[in-house]
Amino acid sequence: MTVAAALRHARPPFADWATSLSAVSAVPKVFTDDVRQAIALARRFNAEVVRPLALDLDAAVQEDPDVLPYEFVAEANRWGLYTRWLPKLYGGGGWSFLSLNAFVEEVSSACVGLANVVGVHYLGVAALSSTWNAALTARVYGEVVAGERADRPCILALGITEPTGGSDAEEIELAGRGTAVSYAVRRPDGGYVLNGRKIFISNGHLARWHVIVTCEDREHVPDTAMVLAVPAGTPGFRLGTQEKKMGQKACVASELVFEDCPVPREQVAFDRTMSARMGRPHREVMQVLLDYVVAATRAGVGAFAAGVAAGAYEEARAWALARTLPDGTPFAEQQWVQTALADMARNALVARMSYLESGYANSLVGLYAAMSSAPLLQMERWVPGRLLARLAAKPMRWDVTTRLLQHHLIERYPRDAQSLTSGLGSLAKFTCSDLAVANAHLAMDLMGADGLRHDHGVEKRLRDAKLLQIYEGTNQINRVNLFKCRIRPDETTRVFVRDDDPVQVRRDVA
Amino acid sequence: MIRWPEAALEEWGTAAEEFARDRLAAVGGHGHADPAFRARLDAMRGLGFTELCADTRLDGLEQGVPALARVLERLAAYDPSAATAVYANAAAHLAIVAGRVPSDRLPMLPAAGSGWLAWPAFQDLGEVQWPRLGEEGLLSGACGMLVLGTVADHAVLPARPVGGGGLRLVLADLREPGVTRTGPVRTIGLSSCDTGDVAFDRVPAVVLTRHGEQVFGELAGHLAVASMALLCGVMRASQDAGERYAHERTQGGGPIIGWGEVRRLLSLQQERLRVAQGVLGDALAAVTTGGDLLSARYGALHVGSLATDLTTDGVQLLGGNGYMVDYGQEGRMRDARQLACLTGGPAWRRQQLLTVALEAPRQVPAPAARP
Repeated sequence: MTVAAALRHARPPFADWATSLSAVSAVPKVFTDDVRQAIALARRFNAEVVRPLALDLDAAVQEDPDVLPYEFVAEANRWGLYTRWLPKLYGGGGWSFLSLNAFVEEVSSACVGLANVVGVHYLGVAALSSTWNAALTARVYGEVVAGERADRPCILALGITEPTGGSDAEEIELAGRGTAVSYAVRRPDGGYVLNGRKIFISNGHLARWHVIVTCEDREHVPDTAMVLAVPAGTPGFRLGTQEKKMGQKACVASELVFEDCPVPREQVAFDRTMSARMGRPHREVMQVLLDYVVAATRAGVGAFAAGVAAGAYEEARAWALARTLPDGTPFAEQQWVQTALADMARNALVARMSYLESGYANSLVGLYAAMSSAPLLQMERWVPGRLLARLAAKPMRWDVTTRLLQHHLIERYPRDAQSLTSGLGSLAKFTCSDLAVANAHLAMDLMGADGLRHDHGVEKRLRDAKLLQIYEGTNQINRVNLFKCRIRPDETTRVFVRDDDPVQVRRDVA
Repeated sequence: MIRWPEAALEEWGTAAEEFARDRLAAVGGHGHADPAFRARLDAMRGLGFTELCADTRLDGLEQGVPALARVLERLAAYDPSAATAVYANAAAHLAIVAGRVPSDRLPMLPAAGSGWLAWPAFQDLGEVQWPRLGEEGLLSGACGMLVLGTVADHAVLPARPVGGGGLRLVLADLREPGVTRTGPVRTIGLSSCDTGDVAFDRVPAVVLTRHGEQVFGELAGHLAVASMALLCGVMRASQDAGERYAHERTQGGGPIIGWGEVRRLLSLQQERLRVAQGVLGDALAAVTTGGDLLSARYGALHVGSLATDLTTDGVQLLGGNGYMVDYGQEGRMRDARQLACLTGGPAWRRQQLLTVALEAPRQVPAPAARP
C-alpha cells in the first residue's frame, strides 16, 4: 500500500485532522504547477483587462442596469479562460480545479463581479460534470471549445433558484417542503417539456447553455428532481428581467422563463430513469449529485471571498503606507493602523487556508478527484490534447460510458467522502465570506472619507462581498450543513427542525 | 422606543412623519443623483426644516438638537438622503450659533429660510485636509464630500489659516467665480444627497469664528446625538422590514420566522435597535439638562457599529431578495455605513475620544491604598 493510500485508509481518518496534510503526498505535483501558472495568468489578466474595467463597469451598471459585459466575455474567451479548466478529454486545457480556485481568488482581489463572469461558467461545468453524463458533457464542452476557436464565446450558467426557493433548493430534504415553481413533464421519447421560472441566475443573459435543476412532480420534488441542459434560443425559453443588485454588478443576475420548452432526451443530464439503475433511492442519489456540486462550488465561492479579503487588505495597506496626517506624521506609524492591517492580513490568509482545505478534500475524494485519476493524468500528459479529444469523442457518446461513470462515481460514492467534501465546502464558504465582509469594513474604517468614495474602490468591495454571504446557500444554511456533515454524531440528531413544529414531531426520531 | 424629552417639540416629529409618509415612502431605489431630490428639498424647506436650528438673528427658530433629532429619526426611516440634507443644514447653523458670530457680520449670512447650507459629510478635524484661508480672507484649496455641495448657494466649513494658527470656521458663497464644484460624488450610500467636491481658488470667505477647534468641540456632542437619530431611523426601518418579510415569506414548509436561525437574527435586530434607542434617549436627556456629552460621543460610535450590524443582517434576512435594490434593505445597509462616518471614521474617532475621556473626571474612584 502506498503512503498516500495508507493515509487515506488510516483510522481515525487522518483527513479529519487536516485534509491538506493528507493531500500533500496524494495530489499530483502537476496540480501545484497549475496553481503557480494560474496565479501568474490571473495577475496578467488583472493588469491588462480587469483593473482598467472594474470601477467604470460598476458605475455604468449603476446608471443603466441593462448593461451587459459582452466585450469582457469575448476577451475572457480570447484568453482561453472558458476552456482552460475543462479536461483535455473534451479538448480543454486540463488544468486542475485547485488552480481554478487560485485563479478566481486572484481575479477577485481586483473585481469579484468580473471573476464571477468567468467563475460561474465553471459552476455550470461542475453541475453538468456531477451528473457524469458522458455524452452530454462531451457535446456541451465540445461547443465551448469550438466557441473559443471561433471567437464566439459559449459559456454555461446554472439555474437552481426560483421565486419561492433559494438556499433550500440545494438541500433535498428542504426542497421537499417548498413550493417549486418549475417542473418538467416527461414525453414518450424520454425528453421533457419544461415550464416555470428561475431567478437570480448569474450570467443568465450571457450563457449559451443553461444547466437547470427542476423536478417532474412539484408535490414530490426530492423523488422526481432532475438536471436538464437547455441552450439559449430554444423555443419556449426566453430571458426575463435583469436584477438590480447592490454589488457584483458586472455579473448579471437573470430571470429565465420556460413556457412549454421542449428538452430532448439527449439534453437530459440526469433523471429518475438513470437513478433507477442504481441501488439507492432517487432522493439519496440527488443529494449525492448536489453535494458533488456544492462541495466544489462552495470552495469556489470561498476562493472568490478570499480574493475580496485579500484585495481589501492590499488596497488599505497601499493607502495607509502612502498617507501622512495633516501634521506630517506617517499614518502607518499609529499602532491602531498597524493592528488593523495585521487583522486584515490574517483574515485574508485564513480565508485562503479554508478554501484550500476544501479544495484538497475535493481533490482527494470529491469532484476534482474523479477528473484527475492517475490513468487520466498520464494520458493527458503524454497524449497531445487534440488527439486525446478525438480518441475520446466516440467512447464518450456510448451509453455504457455514462452507466459506468454513474455507477462508480454516484451510486458507489462513499458517504464519508460525501460528508467530508460537503461539510468542508460549507465551512469554506461561510468562513471566507464572513472574512471578506469583515476586511471590507476594516478597509473602509482605515481609509476614512476615501473609504466611502466609489473612485477609491473599497466601498465597492463591501457591496460585492455581501452577496458572498448569500448565494450558494446562505451562510446560515451552510452552518447547518456543516453541523449535518461533520458535527452531529449520527442522523438521530435531526437538522432542519422548525421552531414551530409541533412538539411531538420534534421529539419523534426520524 | 426612544425616550423623547420636551414633549412640546413632538409637533416637529409629527410634521416630519407626515411629510415622510406622504412624500418619501415611494422614493426607494437609492439611485445616484436622483433628479427628484431637489423637489423634496424645496418641500422640506417649506416645512421649516431649514430654520429648525438656525440663529434667531437669521430668522431661525433655534429649536435645538431635541427637535432636530425627532425630525431626523422620522425622515431617515423613509429616506436617509433627505434626512442627511436636513442634518447637514442644521449642523451648519448649529456651528454658526456656537460660533457666536458678531452682529456686524450677520448681514453677510443668508437668512435661515432662504436656502440650504452645505456642510462637510465627513468632518473629523484631524483626519482631513481643509482649505487654506489667506490673510485677505480668501479661501484656496479643496473640500471633499460637502453635503448639498452641488446645489446649495453657501457652505459652512473649517479652514486653516495660512501661516499657522487655529482652525477657522468660515462661510463661503458657492456661486463665486473661483468655486469649482464636481459631483454629485458617488459614495457607498446617501446616493441622492447631492454631495460634491468643491475646489476654492481665492474665494472670499466670511470668518464666523477664529476658534474652530473650540466650536467643533462644543458641537461634537450635539452632532453625535443628531447622527444617532439618523442611524436609529434607518435601523428602525431595516428591523421592521426584516420582521415583516419573515412573517410573509414562506420557505421550507412555512413562514421563515419559524426557523430558529431566522429568529436568532430577528432577536439580534431587536437587541441592537433597543440598545441604540436607549443610548439616544440618554443622550437627548443629557442635551436637555446640559449634561456632559462625552457619553453621547461614545454612544454615537457604538450606535454606528450597531447600525452597521443590524442593516447587514437586515439584508441577510431577506436572502437573495435582500441584495436586490427593489427591496430597500441593501440601500439601508449602504446608508447606515455612510451615516456611521458622518462625524469622522469610527477607528480614528475612537482614538481621539480617549484624549477627551482621560481629561474628564474619573467615574470610578481609585482604590484605597493598602495600609
